[in-house]
Amino acid sequence: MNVTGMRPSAADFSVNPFVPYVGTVLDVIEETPAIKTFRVCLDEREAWERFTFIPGQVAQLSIFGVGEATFVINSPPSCRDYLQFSVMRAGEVTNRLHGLSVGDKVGVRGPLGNGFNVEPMKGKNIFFVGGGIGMAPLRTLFLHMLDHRNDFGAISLLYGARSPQDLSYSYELPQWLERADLSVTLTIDREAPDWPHRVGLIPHVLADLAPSPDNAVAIVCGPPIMIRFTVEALQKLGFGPHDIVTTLERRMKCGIGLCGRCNIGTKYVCVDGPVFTLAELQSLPDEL
Amino acid sequence: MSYFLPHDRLESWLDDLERTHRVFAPTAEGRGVVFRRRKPTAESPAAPVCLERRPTESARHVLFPRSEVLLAFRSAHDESGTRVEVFEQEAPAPQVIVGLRACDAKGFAVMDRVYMHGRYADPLYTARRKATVMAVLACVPGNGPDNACFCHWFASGHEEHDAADIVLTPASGGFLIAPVSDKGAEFMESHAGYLEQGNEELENAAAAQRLAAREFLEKHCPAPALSKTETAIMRQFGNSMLWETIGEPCLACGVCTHLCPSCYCFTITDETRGNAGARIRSWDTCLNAGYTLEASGHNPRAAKAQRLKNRIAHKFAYYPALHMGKSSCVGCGKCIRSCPVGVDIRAAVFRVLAADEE
Ligand SMILES: Cc1cc2nc3c(=O)[nH]c(=O)nc-3n(C[C@H](O)[C@H](O)[C@H](O)COP(=O)(O)OP(=O)(O)OC[C@H]3O[C@@H](n4cnc5c(N)ncnc54)[C@H](O)[C@@H]3O)c2cc1C
Ligand code: FES
Repeated sequence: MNVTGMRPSAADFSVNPFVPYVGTVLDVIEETPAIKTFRVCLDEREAWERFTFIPGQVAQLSIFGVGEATFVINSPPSCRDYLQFSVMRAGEVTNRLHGLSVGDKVGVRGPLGNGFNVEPMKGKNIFFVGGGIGMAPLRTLFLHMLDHRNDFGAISLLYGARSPQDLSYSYELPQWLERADLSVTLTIDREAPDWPHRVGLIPHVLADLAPSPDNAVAIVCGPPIMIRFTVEALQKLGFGPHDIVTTLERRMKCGIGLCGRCNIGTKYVCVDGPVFTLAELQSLPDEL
Repeated sequence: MSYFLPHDRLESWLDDLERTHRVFAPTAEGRGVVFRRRKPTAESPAAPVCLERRPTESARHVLFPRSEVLLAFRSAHDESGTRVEVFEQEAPAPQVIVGLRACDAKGFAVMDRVYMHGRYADPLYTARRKATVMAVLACVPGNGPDNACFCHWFASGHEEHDAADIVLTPASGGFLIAPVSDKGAEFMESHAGYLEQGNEELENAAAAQRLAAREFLEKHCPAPALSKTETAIMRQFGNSMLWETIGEPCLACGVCTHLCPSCYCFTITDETRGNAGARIRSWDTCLNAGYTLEASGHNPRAAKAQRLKNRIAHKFAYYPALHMGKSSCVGCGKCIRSCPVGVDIRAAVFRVLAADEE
């Protein structure tokens, strides 16, 4: 590949949103057999200081020469030591990301997307429901709310995975379970030895917990099928369409509303999403 | 201020433009008429310009190449670790597109709203667009308008000059040339060497020609109530029978999207050789089955009828909803002429409107 006729990039997202920042992997955590978490810092000091985001925003991680893929930044904005991404093995880029070790270089392009609208959640009871890798977008908001604990009412989390081995962030779950100002419920799909928590699919456990919809917001992330049944369960409990918040996935390329790939009707998931209320989703054409 | 370019000075005028601009103009190649960089040299003159026939492709690739390098990278390893250097394209040179039609120019106006005035500007398109002068050739009876044309639905042709800087109209053995933007006026001032002054008589003759083309179009294909397409498409969105009927013959080959002046979807892929490589963007098409295929295997538009629906809905419902009612179809008819199985986007629009009225 010839770079003659090209100039060194200023690497400024606001000038050229196609150019990633070069970052370095600081840490790799094996979450589950299919998910690895990467802590990444941008190499350029200035770019790093400029890089701010709100919970729920995503970034494109890339391996130069392989390609880019979209991941939610799952560290909270208050964390200024690294950006954290949890990557589930799915295809070409995710496989190659899984091969990275500490010190390796990655491209980071972002922050992208709308993120969670936290303001209207203030003063309310918050009910998080996460399934599998869907815990990643919840984690950033969850930790952000813990950073500002007094701004919110009761905070609950229902987190489910197929088996105990499929729960990400297992190292921080014990401290969440212990906190008096949180109510955390874990569930797995099928019985497993020495499992002290719930067993059952998320929507069933949710119906059982029966959180009150009064002055409450439910935030749901996970695989499409889990989202569907969880949203139904929430509606049965009386949660209104403005009080159910979820994130959507679409195949993405540019992440900046140009390449046209991620539209649902007039909305582009990369810039108008990935966070939507159920009310917003109901106004979109039926093409999920 | 207008100018007159006698026919026999056309090639010299185009060659002269090369002093300051890279010149792109339609050239006949086989059955096609395609936009090529002229690049005349002392040894080999440029291929003759073809203005008599309608171009068979849009000029979109001049500002938005079929494939281009978004960035290049090079990595170096030493004892302190790995370093990655990233490179971007240099600023583009001034260029002029001569002989694109009003519909093709309108395609750039469609793209401008997305690529220059959206939440993020596309830096490559924006830089090229600013460096480009658009010299539109007006359609007149005999130089192209045919039964597949329907630019009058969107008022692309005739006296409307979206994105054009200069308009050339065939008249009296040459071309009447009229600047229609400040950029066009400035360009003409420095390229008037081979030209004569225009006059009112020529201007009137040119206007009459343009009007005749418009009247031909209005007669052969009256416009539907375009203001209704947005609601009709959204109301009929779930009418799968309707969309399956429309999409039934479609081969999902994507030729319509590749010839279209206003389709602007792209994909991004990486290439690498040794310790260097490039991130490349290339035209893509929403008719491709893999376009929306998610990593989980889920595909929100798995059926080709859903994908053709997306193309039509984008042109006639989504884009207008986002851009003050303006359709992103420009009525050039290239998709109609080139579809191997005769899918006609006009018929599809009429069908949706009819279904919605039932
Ligand atoms: C807003 C958002 C947030 C996300 N957050 C996370 C997150 O936090 N963690 C996480 O793990 N994931 C997340 N994802 C999903 C993640 O982006 C995808 O899993 C990832 O892009 C897959 O990339 P890949 O290169 O590994 O897969 P790819 O290699 O691109 O392919 C995946 C599959 O797509 C198909 N495919 C690919 N290319 C083609 C082609 N050219 N033609 C036909 N089929 C093709 C194949 O079936 C392939 O197996 C998120 C997605 C979105 C949109
Ligand atoms: S990913 Fe390109 S438009 Fe959304």
